[in-house]
Amino acid sequence: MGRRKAQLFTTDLSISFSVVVIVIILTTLLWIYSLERKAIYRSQSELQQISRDVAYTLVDTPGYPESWTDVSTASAIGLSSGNHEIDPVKLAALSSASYDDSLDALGIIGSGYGFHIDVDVYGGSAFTPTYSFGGNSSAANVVVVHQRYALLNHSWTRLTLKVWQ
Amino acid sequence: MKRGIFYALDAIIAIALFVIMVSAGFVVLGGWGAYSYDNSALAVTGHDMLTVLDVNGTLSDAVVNDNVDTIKNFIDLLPSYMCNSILIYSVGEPPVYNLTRIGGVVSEGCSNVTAQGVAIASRTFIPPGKGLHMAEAYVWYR
Repeated sequence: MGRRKAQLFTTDLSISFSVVVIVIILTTLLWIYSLERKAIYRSQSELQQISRDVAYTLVDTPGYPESWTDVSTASAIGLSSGNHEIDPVKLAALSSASYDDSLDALGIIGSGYGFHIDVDVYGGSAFTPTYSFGGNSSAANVVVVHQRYALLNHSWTRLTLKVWQ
Repeated sequence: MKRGIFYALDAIIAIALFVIMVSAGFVVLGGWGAYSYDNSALAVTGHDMLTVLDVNGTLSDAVVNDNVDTIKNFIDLLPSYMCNSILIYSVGEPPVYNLTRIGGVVSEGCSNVTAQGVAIASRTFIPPGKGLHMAEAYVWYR
């Protein structure tokens, strides 16, 4: 009888010890998982803010100076020629500028940040790719996409901005 | 017998509590990383839609020709993950300014505005030879 009781306690102890170990392992995994999710969430929020600001500056402002023609000397890059019209000369200048100059001028500053811009113009039945420039996001951890609609040469135009880290 | 049942209940309660705690943890943490689609992005899209359609004369043409097909073409070009609806009203004379709906379009497959997270934008315009009109855009996630 006494031996049986001792065995019971040993079994009890083993089970409870296993449960405690499992709980500790799961709690640790959950904690690591939560830290990773928080980091991703913070990164997404920052990128959302950046992409929104850059898209606003591009579509709704002419940049500074207003008549800029060279991305490397402009303080801020805006493409608007007023009332949601994109200036084709400024767009061509931005698309042919160096990637690093564009990053600085667009205000996308920070280690590991990148951007890509696609400009598609309505061609009668669908949007036709017209400009595509910037970096490649294939190795990025977090990518945020922001789309704006404007007019280029009086045609409906979709500007897709990707920002990543 | 009774003692055995007591231990079994203990174990069941403990396991149930453990499962609930772990599940709750995952549910809470699962929501943290979710991409937050906020209304401001929808509002910007609505504003863009109306501005673009007004500036290139599409809204005015729709009123003058009593035909909203071009507006429908435009909203069908927008991303399929969002629904869009544009309503056009004629604005009455002062001081009452009664709004009379004269046309409207909605994205394919989006019959009703969902109450959750709809953004609304509006813009007034004056078609040639017509009085004051207003366009309203409703944008929401499908």
